[in-house]
Amino acid sequence: MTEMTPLSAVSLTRGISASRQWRVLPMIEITVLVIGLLLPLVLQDYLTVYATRVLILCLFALSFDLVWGYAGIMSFGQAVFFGSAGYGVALLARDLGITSILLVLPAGLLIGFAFALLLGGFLLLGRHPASVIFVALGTLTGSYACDRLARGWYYLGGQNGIPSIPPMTIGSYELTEGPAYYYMAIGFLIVVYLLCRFLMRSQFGLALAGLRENEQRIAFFGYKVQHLKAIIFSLSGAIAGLAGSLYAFHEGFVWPNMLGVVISTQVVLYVLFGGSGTLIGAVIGTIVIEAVSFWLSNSYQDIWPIILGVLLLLVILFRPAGLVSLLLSERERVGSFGRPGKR
Amino acid sequence: MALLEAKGLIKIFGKLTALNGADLTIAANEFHGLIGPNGSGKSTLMKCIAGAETPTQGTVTFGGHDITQASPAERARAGMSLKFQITSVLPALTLYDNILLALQAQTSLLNLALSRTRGVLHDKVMAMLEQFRLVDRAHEPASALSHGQQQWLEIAMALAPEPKLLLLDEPTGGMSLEERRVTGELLQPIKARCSLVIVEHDLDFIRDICDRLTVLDQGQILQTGTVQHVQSCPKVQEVYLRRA
Amino acid sequence: MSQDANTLSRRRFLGNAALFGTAIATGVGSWVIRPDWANAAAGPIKVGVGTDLTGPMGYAGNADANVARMVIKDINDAGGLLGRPLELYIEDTASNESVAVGNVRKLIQREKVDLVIGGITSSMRNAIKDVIVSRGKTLYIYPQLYEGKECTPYLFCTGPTPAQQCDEFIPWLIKNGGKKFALPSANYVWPHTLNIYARKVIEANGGEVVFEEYYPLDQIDFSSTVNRIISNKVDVVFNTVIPPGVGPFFKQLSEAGFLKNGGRLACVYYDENTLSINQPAEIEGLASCLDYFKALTPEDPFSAKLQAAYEKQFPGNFLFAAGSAATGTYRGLKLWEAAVKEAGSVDRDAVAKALDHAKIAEGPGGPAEMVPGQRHCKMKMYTAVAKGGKYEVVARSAGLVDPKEC
Repeated sequence: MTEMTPLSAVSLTRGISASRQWRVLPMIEITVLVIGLLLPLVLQDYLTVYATRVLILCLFALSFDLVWGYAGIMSFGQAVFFGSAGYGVALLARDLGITSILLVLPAGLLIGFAFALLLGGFLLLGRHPASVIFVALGTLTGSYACDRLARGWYYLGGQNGIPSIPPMTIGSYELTEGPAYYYMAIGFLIVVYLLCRFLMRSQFGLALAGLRENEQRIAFFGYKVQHLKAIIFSLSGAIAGLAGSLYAFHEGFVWPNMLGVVISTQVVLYVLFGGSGTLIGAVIGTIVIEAVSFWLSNSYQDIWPIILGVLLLLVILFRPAGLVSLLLSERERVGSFGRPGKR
Repeated sequence: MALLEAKGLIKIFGKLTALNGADLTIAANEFHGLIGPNGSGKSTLMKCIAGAETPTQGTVTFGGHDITQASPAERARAGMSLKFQITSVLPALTLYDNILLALQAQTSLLNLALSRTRGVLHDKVMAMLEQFRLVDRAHEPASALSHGQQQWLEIAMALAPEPKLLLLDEPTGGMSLEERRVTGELLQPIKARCSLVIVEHDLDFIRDICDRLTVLDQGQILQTGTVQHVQSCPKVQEVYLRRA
Repeated sequence: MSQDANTLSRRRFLGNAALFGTAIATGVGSWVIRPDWANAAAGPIKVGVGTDLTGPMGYAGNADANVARMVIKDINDAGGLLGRPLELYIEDTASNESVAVGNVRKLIQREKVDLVIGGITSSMRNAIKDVIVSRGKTLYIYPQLYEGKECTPYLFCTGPTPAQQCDEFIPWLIKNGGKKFALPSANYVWPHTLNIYARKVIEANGGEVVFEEYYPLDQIDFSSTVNRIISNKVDVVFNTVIPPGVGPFFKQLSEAGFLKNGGRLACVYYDENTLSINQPAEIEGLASCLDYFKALTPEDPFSAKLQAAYEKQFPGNFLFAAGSAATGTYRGLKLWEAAVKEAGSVDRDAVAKALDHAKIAEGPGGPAEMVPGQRHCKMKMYTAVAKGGKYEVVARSAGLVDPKEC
C-alpha cells in the first residue's frame, strides 16, 4: 500500500466528507415533501386549512428566493405581484363571475408576470446597475403606493377590500378549503419548486450566480445582463401572482394589506430566516415562522409578536445564513453546474 | 488593417484630464505593453478600449467597426476580452464553473435554461484548465486558490471564449517572482491566436513577453515602438528616472 | 339539504365525544366559558362570538363579549336551552380582517359552533360572513348598526338600519339645527352607503348637502375639512368618521368655533362608550339616534334592570351602549333563544325559519320583532343630545320602527 502523507490523508478525508455533504439537500427536500404529503391525514380540518395557507405562503416565499437568493435583487415589493393577482382574480369573480381554475390561475400568473415586468423594467433596467439599496427602496415604495392606491379606490373596495369571493371551481365542483385545497396547493408548490430547481441548476443558474456575485463582470463576458434580470424578476412575479390567486380563493377575500409593505417584508423574513439561495430554505423558513407564530399566539396572546421578533433576531445574529445552513454546507448551497457525473 | 485602432482619445473626469489625445494601434497576433508612471492614464486608456469608460472625445475601432459607444457585452461578442486589475473570479464557485461561466456567455438564454451546451463546452473547460495548470483543482471553490492562481484562473476565463484581443490590466499584481515567470510561460502560447494589450509595472515582465511598447505620461503618448526602440529612448529614461 | 344533515350528525357525534376533551383542546386562543354543570346527553349548544377585543374597535367588542357572557349565564342559570347547557366560545377579530378570518374559522371548524354572533364594522362583517354562512354553513347574527342592504340568507341583523336611524332623525336635525348639511366620512362601505340614504332624506325634507367627503381611516388631521365647514356656514355636521379619527376631528371642529356659532354635530354611532373620547365641551349638543340610551333607565324599568345587571357584573370601561352593538348583541341572543325554543332544535334551517319571525317582549329600549322575510329587526328608536358629557333623550319613536330592508 502506498504510504499516505498526513497531508494527503487529510485531503482524502476532506474529499470523503465533502462528497457525503453533497447529498444533504435532497434528503432535506424529500423529508419536507413526505411530511407535507402526509400532514392532512393526521391533522384536524381546521389545522389543515391553516396549513394550506402556509403552503401558499411557501410558494410566495419561493418567488422572493428566486430574485434575492439567486439573482441578488433585494425586492421589498413582492406583495405588489401577490396582491395585484389576488385583486385581479377577485374582480374576475365578482364582476364577471369567473371562478374556473382554468381561467383564474393563469390570470394570476399573467397579472403577476405583467406587474413584475413593469416594476422591474422601471427599477432594474437602467444604464448602470441599480444598487441593492435603490432596488430595496424602490420596490418598498412601489408596495406602499399600491397599498394606498387600493385603500382609496372604491371600485376595489377601498379600505375593506373585496369580500365574499366565491370558491374556485373545477368544472362544476367547488373547491373549498380543506384537504382538497391543501393537495392542490401542495401540488402547485411541488411543480413550481421542481421547475425552479431545474432552472437554478442549469447553465442559466450559473449565469444567475454570476449576476448575483458580480453583475458588471459578467457583462464583460458578453452576457445580456438586462435580459437576465428581466427574466428572473418576471418569473418571480408570475410565481407570486400564482400564490396570490390561490390565496384569494382560499381566504375568500382580498384587501389592501395584501399589496402592502408588511406582507412584502414578511416574505423577506421567511426566506432570510430559512436560508436564501436554497429554495428549500424559503419553504422551511415560512413553515417555521408561521408554525411558531400560530403556537405562540395561542399560548401567549398578548406578547407573542415580541417573542417572535426576539427569536428572529437571535437566528439572524447567530446564523445569518439562515436555518438551513445548520445542515447545508456553503458548497452544497452554491452547487455546481458542470456535466453531472463528471467530477 | 490593424485589429484595434484608438484615435485621439480624450477622457476628462470633472477637473482631471486623465487622457489627453492618446492614439494606439494594435495589429493581429501582437503583444503590446502599456507602461508609464502612476497616474499616466494607462488604466483609463485600457478602460476606454474595454468599454468600462466612454471617452469624452475620440474613437475606438475594432476589426474595422467603430465601437466607441458599444457596451461591454457588445465588445465581448465582437471578440474582445479583458481581465480587470482587481481579481473578480467568483469565489464561491468552483474553478470549473468559473470557466464555464465565461465560456457559455454566448449561448442563448433559452439554451442556457435547457443546459444544451454543457456537454459541448466540457472539453473546452478542461482544456483551459489544463493549459493553466489548474486541472487537478478543477472542482474546488475558487476561494481556495492562492492569489496568483486566482489571477491565472481569471486569465483563463478571459481567454476561454477565444477572443481576438485580450486586455490585461496588471496581471502580475501581488505575484511572487516564480509566479510571474509562470505567468509569462502561460501567456506565450496565446500569440498564435490572439493579440494582447497588457498594462504593467514590472518592466522585466513586459520586456520578456511584449513585441511593442507604448509609454504614457500625463495622459499622452510619450513613445511607441518595439521594446528595444522604446527602451533606448532618452525621453522615456528621463521620465522613469525622474519618477523613480 | 342532505349535506347539512350529514354535517349536523357528524357535529353532534363529535360534540359528544369531545365533551370531556373540550377543556383541554380548546384551552388555547379562545375564551371558553364552561357552565358548572353539563347534564344533557345531547351535549351543549355552542355559541360563538367573534368580535374586536383588541384594536380601535376594542371599546365596543369587549362590551359585546360581556353582554354575551351575561346572557349565556342567565340562560344557563334558568336551566339552559332545550334542557341543554350553553357553551360560549369567544374569538378576537382584532379589528383586523385577515386575523379575523383565521380566528372565526376556529369557531366554525374547531369548535363547530351552532351560532356565530359578532362583527362590528361592515368591513369585518363582510370579511367573516363568507367563512360563517357559505363555507361554514352556520347561522350568523350581526348585531351592529350599519348601512343596510345585507340580504344574505342565514345572516340576521339586529342593529339599526339607515331607515331607522335617518327617517325621523334627519327631520329632527333640520328642525333643531338647520338646513345646510356636511357629510365628512370615513372611506369604507358603511359611510358610502349610509350617505346615499341620508342624502335622500335630507333633500326630501328641504335640506341641502354642502359637501360629502371621504378620508382614510388613519387620518387625524382635519384642518381643511374644518375650514370648509366653517367657511360654508354648515348647520349640521352629519359625521361618519370613526375612531381613531373622530376624536381629533371633533376637537379641531370645536376649537374652530363650530359649536359656539350654533352648529349641530350629528353622529349615529355615537354612544356612551364614545362620549369619553372627547371633552364634554367639544361635543356639546351632539345628537345621536339609537335604539337605546342609558338615560332611558328612569322611564323604562326593564332597561334599568338590564343596565344595572350589566354594570354589576362588568364594572369598568366597557359600557353597555347601543352604538357599540351591545344592545344588538342582547337582542340577537334573546331572539335566537326564542327561535331555538320554537324550532325545538339547533338545526340551522329550523332555527332560521323560526328566527325569521321571532319576537321578544322585553329588551333594552323596548321590545323587538323580526320582520318576516327581511331578516332585519323592528325596534324603538330614540334621539338623544349630549349635554355636559351625558345624554338626554329628546325624542322617542311612536312605536317599533320598520327597518325597510331586503
